[in-house]
Amino acid sequence: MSFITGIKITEVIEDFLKWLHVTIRGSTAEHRKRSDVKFARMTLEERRSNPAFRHTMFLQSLILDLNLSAYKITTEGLSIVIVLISGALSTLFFAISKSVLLFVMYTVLFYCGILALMYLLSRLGAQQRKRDIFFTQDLLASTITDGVISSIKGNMSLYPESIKPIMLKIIGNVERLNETVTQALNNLEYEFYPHFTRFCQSAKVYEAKHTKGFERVFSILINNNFKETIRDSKLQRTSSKINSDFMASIALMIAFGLYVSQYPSASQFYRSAWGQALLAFQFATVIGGFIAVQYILALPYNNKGGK
Amino acid sequence: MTALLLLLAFGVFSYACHKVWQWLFNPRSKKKFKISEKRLASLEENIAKSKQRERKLKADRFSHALDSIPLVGISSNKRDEYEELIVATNHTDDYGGLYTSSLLHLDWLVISALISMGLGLLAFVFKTTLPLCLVPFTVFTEKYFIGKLYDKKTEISEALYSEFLEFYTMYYVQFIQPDATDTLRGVITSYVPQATLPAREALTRLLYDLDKGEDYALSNFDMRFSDNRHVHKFCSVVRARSKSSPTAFENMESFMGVLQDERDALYDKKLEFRSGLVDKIVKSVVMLNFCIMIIVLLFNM
Repeated sequence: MSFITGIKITEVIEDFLKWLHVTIRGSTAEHRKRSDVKFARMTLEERRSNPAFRHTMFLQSLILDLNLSAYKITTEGLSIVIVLISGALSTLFFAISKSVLLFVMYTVLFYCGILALMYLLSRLGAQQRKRDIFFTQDLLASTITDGVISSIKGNMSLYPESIKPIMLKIIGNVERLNETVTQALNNLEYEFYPHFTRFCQSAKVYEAKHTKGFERVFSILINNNFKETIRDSKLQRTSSKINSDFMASIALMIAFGLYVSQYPSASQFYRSAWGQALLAFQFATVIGGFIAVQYILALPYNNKGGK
Repeated sequence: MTALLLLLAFGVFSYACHKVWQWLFNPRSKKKFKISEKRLASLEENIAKSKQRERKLKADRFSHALDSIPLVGISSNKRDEYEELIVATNHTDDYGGLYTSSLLHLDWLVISALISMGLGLLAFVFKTTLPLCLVPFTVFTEKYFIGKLYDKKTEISEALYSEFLEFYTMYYVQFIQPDATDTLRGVITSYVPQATLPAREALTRLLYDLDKGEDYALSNFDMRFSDNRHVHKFCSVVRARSKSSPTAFENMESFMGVLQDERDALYDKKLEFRSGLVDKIVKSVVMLNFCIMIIVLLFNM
């Protein structure tokens, strides 16, 4: 190509990727601004039931648990990257199968699969992050009498490394962009959703009224965090045991499966369409079961009765 | 020239008539017209409300007259149950007045009668469906019709039960001080933005009743949720505190302890349940896959 036009193909691809990157960043920034305004206007009840908010919070928790925020990846960026990867992989399958229905199905499957994989990987760091969040909340709750912003600034050297950048951003917004205390608390709740919800709601009331004795709410909050940490450590012991049992069972099943495939008729069966379908079903149940176990172990404690 | 003069005379005459008309029939200004429209609208509303009151009285008389007839009548216990439901869910009519048990009874009867008539018409074609005409008047249809009110009441009760600790914590931390500076109204107003919708509805009604006095508001709150022990205890704690009873502070502390213990017990129970559920899932997955592989092995040996 450079022989005809004088431009190398790599330069063209580089320019195209740069343009794509700038366009995507621009549109995600716009989308982010609109979402921020929309979420800020929602009441607590609306946020609990809004699917867009919950999806955004899910992606936010993935980013924080996997420490992707260190690479300045936002929720919109992550969503687009996953969509692009799913699209690229399903395009490959489309090239083989030439079916539009399968293309759409594979895109959805790959999107869900990548999210599920990221969710599983995030579980490795989730407990540590929860402990960091509770530690931060205890620090803020114990110094709330100084005022929320002073409390955040005063404890800056004590925050865990994963929490510090978020706190610096919140203080930066207050000092440079003249954000109010309520906006700062909304941002705090947004960044650490759902662990900071009760703290932020109580802090808003305290900042508005400063009634005598209200600080005791924060002492009760510290106490509740302590109880939840004890529950989490009990759960951690149970989940380690369950995970190791699960892995051992899977290893046994694989070994047994290899033994079964020694028989020529069994091996032939597994190579047939029905055998492939059965294998796919078995893989799906194992993977689905594993994801379900991790999901149940990660559910927050809510005060509604039942499960 | 004559035409011009005639035209001028006609113009002067029309202007004079217009002025005389204005002097005789003085039109209202726009401001007065708006005020009259408002007065008319409020007059119509008052007439409609008084008609609704008359309708309620007639409905009451008619509903009580049907009480002795089986299938269509309702017992006094049922009537009390309906009143409780209406009060708990604040079921209002189109004019903002509270519904009555008689109106609810008649609504159910009218719909049942319509469905019965429809089934009766069907019976002209399919004679075997004739006994079905009585089905709309059974207990099941009544429960289905009033089911929405039951669901709403359950939703509000559950929301209050699940959020009571958070609400009471706000009241407790301020009123445990002997020289509390806030009021019950202030506490409720602070809590309402973070409440769920059903709890917010219940607390907003309590706020509305507080205008008529704390005692009145608390007794209404207690009456509305008479089956909720937290509400009942809260009302007695608040009454004791406002009368500065000697045991008020102890009551508050013990109630706080009870709520806290209940919450801890609930979370511990959830932890156990989840551990058990996860165990079952793992066992089911492993057993299912092993069974499939054994079946494949047995068929292919």
